[in-house]
Amino acid sequence: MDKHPGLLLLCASPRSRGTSAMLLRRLQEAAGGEMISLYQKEGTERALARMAEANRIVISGPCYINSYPAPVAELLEKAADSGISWAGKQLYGIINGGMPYAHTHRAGLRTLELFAESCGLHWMGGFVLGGGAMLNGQPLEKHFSAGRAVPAFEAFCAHAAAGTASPDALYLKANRPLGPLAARLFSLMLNGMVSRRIRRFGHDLRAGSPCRG
Amino acid sequence: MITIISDDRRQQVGARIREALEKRGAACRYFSADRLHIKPCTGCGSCGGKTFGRCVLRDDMEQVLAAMGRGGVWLLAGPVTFGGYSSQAKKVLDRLCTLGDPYYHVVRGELVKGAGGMGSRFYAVGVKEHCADAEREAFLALHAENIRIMNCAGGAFVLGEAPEDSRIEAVAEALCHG
Repeated sequence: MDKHPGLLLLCASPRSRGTSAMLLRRLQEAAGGEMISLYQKEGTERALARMAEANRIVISGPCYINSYPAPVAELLEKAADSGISWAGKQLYGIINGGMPYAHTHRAGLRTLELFAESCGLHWMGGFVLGGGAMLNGQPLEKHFSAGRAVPAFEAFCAHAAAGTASPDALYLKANRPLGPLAARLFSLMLNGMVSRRIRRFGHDLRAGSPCRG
Repeated sequence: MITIISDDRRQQVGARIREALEKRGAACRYFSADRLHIKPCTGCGSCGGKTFGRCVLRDDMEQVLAAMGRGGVWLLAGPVTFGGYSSQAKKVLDRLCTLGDPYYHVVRGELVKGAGGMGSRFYAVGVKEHCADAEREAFLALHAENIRIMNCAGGAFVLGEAPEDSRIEAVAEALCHG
């Protein structure tokens, strides 16, 4: 039996086996709930219908240029214009991105918070996972900073299961910034991966993007 | 060249900025994002590998990318949506990864990606009548993160739905001269 029948876990990633979905499945193990995807056919309408029935909603998605992908903005616009009463529902957010910094991704959570304030939901906090894209859906234990990220995310899951507010300090501790030297080493490693990937497909690195004039 | 992408569903501020720019003699390319058919980015990563520098999605974004790929000044205008970009504007922004520098750089001790290598400046205009301070600050903070990660110059403005001409001129001045 579902521990929390009113808990909706909304995956806002186009990748059904990516890190956003992995984090939600991990939360589902701790808290139960129904998991749906925003990217399935008629995903926005279905998500709105399920959100209307839920009393606790968790949105997990990737960070595209400092915030959630466009379909999340569309969902929030439609939710606000839908005439559905959102009052009293609880909202949590999870956002993950490639850059290993919380500040790069947290604007996504701020958008959810402002949506909640505007529509009468209770904003219960969120979780930022920097460096999440590199996991590519693998378990959180494979994260380069698993020692901090795993217990912090488990604490977030406990809050979401109990319906208590999750403080920002949880994810801020989990995303301790890289020092300048570590950033340089990281960039060398990442750039090596980028070069290998581009060469593997036979592209000329010096040519850059063909879209550039 | 100034490329303007404006979600004109609930505002005409983007069009007014274009008029002000053209009166100054600036060359503009204007796209109404709400009239374009742009699919959301699927995060497939092909533009960074298999089809390097090209998006596999075939839609109106091709013409937008062709214009923006020339560099210059980019302006994204549209309603402020919960401290962020509107969904139509965000669809365009998400798809700009095709133009981005695939490499990482370290600036002020932090990793960044970059559109800066194209010499572009990126501006945003959010439109909302009686925008609350919290939402204005969120929008400006979001754009500040955009230009930080894109490693380029630019600025952001939050205007009402019918701003005075002087506010429009201030945006046009920034776009023309930085």
